[in-house]
Formats: sequence, C-alpha cells, structure tokens
Amino acid sequence: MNYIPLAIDSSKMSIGELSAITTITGVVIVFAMLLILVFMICIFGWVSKAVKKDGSKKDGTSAPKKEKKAVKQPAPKAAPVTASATGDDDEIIAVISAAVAMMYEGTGKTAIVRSIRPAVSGRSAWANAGIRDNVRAF
Amino acid sequence: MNIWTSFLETVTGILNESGFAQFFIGEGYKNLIMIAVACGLLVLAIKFEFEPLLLLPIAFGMLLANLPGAGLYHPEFFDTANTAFWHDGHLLVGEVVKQGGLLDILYLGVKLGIYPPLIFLGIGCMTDFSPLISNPKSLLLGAAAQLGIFIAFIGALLLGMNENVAASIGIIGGADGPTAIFVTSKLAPQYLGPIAVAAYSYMALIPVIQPPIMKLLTTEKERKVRMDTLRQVSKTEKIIFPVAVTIIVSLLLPSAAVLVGMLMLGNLMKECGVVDRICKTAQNELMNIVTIFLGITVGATTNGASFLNVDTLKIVGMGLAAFCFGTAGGVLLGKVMYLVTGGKVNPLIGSAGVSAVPMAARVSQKVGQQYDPGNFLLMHAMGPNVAGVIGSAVAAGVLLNLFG
Repeated sequence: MNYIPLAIDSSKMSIGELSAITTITGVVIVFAMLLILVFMICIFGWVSKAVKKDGSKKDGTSAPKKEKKAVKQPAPKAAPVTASATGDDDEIIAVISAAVAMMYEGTGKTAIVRSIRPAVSGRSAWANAGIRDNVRAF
Repeated sequence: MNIWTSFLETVTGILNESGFAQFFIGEGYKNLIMIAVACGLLVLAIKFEFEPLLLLPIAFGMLLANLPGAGLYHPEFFDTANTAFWHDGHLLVGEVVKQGGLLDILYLGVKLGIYPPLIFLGIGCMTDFSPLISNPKSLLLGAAAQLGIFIAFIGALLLGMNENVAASIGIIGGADGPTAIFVTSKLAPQYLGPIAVAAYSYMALIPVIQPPIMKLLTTEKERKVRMDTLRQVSKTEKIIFPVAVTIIVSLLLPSAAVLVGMLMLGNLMKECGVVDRICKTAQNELMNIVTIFLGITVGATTNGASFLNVDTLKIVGMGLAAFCFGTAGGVLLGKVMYLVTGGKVNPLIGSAGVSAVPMAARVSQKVGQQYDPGNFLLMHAMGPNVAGVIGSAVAAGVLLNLFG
C-alpha cells in the first residue's frame, strides 16, 4: 500500500488537541470528498447536455418536421369514451394530468392532455405483476 | 430413607446447576435483567414495528446469549488477551470453529468485517441515486449531517472514553447500522452490542427525534419553500456514477473502499440492467440471510456483564447527541443553501442527510407537508439521504484511518 496513513499518536495529545485534530480532519475530508463527487456529477451533467445538444443540432433539419407532423395529427377524440369504457373515473384522469404537469413544472412549457388510453403491452397479468415487483424502489 | 435422600440430592443438584439458579449467583442477576430487556425489544419490534427486521433478531440473540449455561456464545474467545484464540494480534479462526457454538461461528462474519459490506451490497441494489445525480448540491447536505459523528466523538472523549471507543460511539451519528457495526467491530469490539442497539433504536426513533430540531432551526417561510422539479437522469449517467464514485473514493480514502465499493457494486448491478437475477438475489435472499446472521450475533454480544454498566448509559446519551447534531448540521447547511440560492432550497431536506434511508427523507416530506400540504419534498430529500450513506462511509474511513 502506497497511500499515506493518517493514523495519529493520541497518547501524546490532550483531549482538546485530539478532538480538534479529529474533527477538523474528519469534516474537511468528508466535505472535500463529497465536493469532488459534486464536481464529477456536474461534469456528467454538462457532458450529457452537450451530447444532447450535439444530437439535436445534427437532427436540426428533421426535428421541426417531426414536430409539425405531430401537430398536424388530429388529437384523438376518443379520450372521454376510452376513459369511461375502461371503468376509470375522473380521478385517474386528474392524477395523470397532475403527473404530466409536474414533469413540465419549471420548464416554461405547457402540456395538454388530449387522450388517455390504456397501454396495450401484450403481457399477461402475471408478467405485469413480475415487472412491478422488480421495479419497485423499496 | 436412603432413596428419599438421594432423590432430594439429585433434584437439588439439578436445580443448582440449572439456569434458574445461575441468576442468583454472582452477577447472574444481570442476565435476568438482559432477558427482560430482550423481551422489551421484542415487544418494540413485533407490536410497534420499530425496525423489526433487525430489532427482532438482535433481541432474540440477546435472549439466547443471556441464558446461563446455554453456551451459545463465548465472548472470551474474542478477547485479544486470550492466547488460546489469538496469536500476534490475529484471531485463530480454526480454534473458534473447533470449540465455538453456533453464535461464535456466525459472529466471525462480524469480527472479520464480512456482514456489513454485504448489507451495503444489498442496499446498493435497492438505492436510486437519480435524485442525487440530478441535484449534486445535495451531496453537501449529506456531508454536513456527519457533523454529529464528530460532536459525539468529542463528547465521548470528555466522558472519559478512549479514542477508539469515542470514534465508535461517534459513528452512531452516521445513522447507518452496518457502518456503525463495521467501525465498532474494528475499533472497539467490546462495545459492539450497546452501540448497535443504540444505533438501530435511534434510527427507529428518527420520526420522533428529528422534527423538533427541524422546526426549531427553521422559519415557517423556509419550511414552505417548494423546490424546482428534478431533471431526468440518463441511464448512462446512472451507470457511470457508481463506477466513478468507487474509483475516486477508494483511491483517495482506501479504508472506505470496502463499504463504498460494495454499495456501488450493488447499485451498478441495479442500473446496468443486465444482471437482474443476481441483483434480485443480493437485495432479497442475500440481504435477508445476512440480516439474520448480523442481527442475532450482534444481539449475542450484549451479555449482562458487558451491557449493564455506566458505559452503556454514556453510549446511549452520546448516540442521541450524535443524531441531534447530525440533524442540526444538515438543516443548518440547508439554511445556508436557502440564503445562497435566494430561497430555492427548502432547509428541511438537510435533515435527511443523516442517511437512515428512506426514513429520514420521509420525515422531511412529512414535516414539509404539515406547513404546505401540496409540497412534495420526498424526492428532493432522497438526494441528501443517499448522499448521507456515502458521507457516513467516508467518515467511517477517516475514523478507521485515524484510529485503526
């Protein structure tokens, strides 16, 4: 091992000296270590932003077209029918709308929910239960 | 007549050798008290669900270790002065396996520092570092909340503990059971029982301990701050994060490598998405098995003679101080951030920096909602909360480097 050990000879120190050295060393090292990690994560963020920007510049000609295409598509009018057909109520629509609003909060953009349809995953109820079990955070 | 006398002598002999008689010989009464304490902890675990996954095996280990004559655990095997089991400062594992009971053998996992890193592996598999990556400033709150460790260290020194014991008591403030057990097993193994019990008891009491401190140190205006939505974190960032943290922390502080390394290995297994099977095993089966072994052996170290003394009271007192000052440190840095950012950071999330995932973050959320029911601080508090896990592992590394 080539690292410099920090071990201190406490037998020659008073309680005051030992407390001061340990506290200062500990607090400084913990903060320094986590500050380094803060910078590292910031660099991640900048790099991923730069990569995204670069990607959007390259697709600069095609992106607006896609947007236009999306706008041109008529909004599905089946929303109320679908919601009621599945037996869902207004509360579910309110919850989904609130979640979408939360996602856009602080971005300056406004989202409009035109349609809510049940996702057709093609999975059985057992497969869905398995996925839910695996993706649960805690 | 002879038959009657021999019968009485036999019965008296059996009674004298029974565990019941041992309670009334010498310090045997302490075992009786410890059995009562163990039953009290079982009630807390089962009826009130205070950290039941750990408190229940700890309490039962305590019960088993205090049954006189059962011989399930022999603390004398692990006394460094015992030359039959120690040679040149090294434990003779073979001797323990040959002569020990079940709990002696299981205790080797604590003594050799195996269980806590395995628990960290499981925690890593269950932890989502996205809130931390999307708001890196929260790492500083995780650092500030480690203040309690060093305040408790000073307090323990002032109460007459030596530096190794003081460091082990201080680490209770990290609010991280495996870290506390890891550090104590290296620096002051004779205090493992009281320190582990204090650490887990206070972690269970976080919803009671933290709110008054949080309210005392913040204004109503600060508590009502709504924070901006966190940015989305890409999968690449989530994969690079554990690898980069392991490299940086381990190179700068090698003594923290085992804890941080296992935490990050677990997290990498979760985020990479290609080893779902072993990730699931680590967070369920492995974690549960190690939790049982860890709990029961830590409980077994709490025999009456070593637990029922003034030192345990000092540990309990300083442990509480560590939690309080840790909470205060996080909230105070949160206030500084509130001022620096012009009111964009809610100081309540600072208290979550004491790790204790996810309990401390839930407390931030709950206290925030008392003042603004529409305020959702949980994800913001998860950042400092998981940062606290890294922070306490780093603080443990510092203490091991200084006194190990």
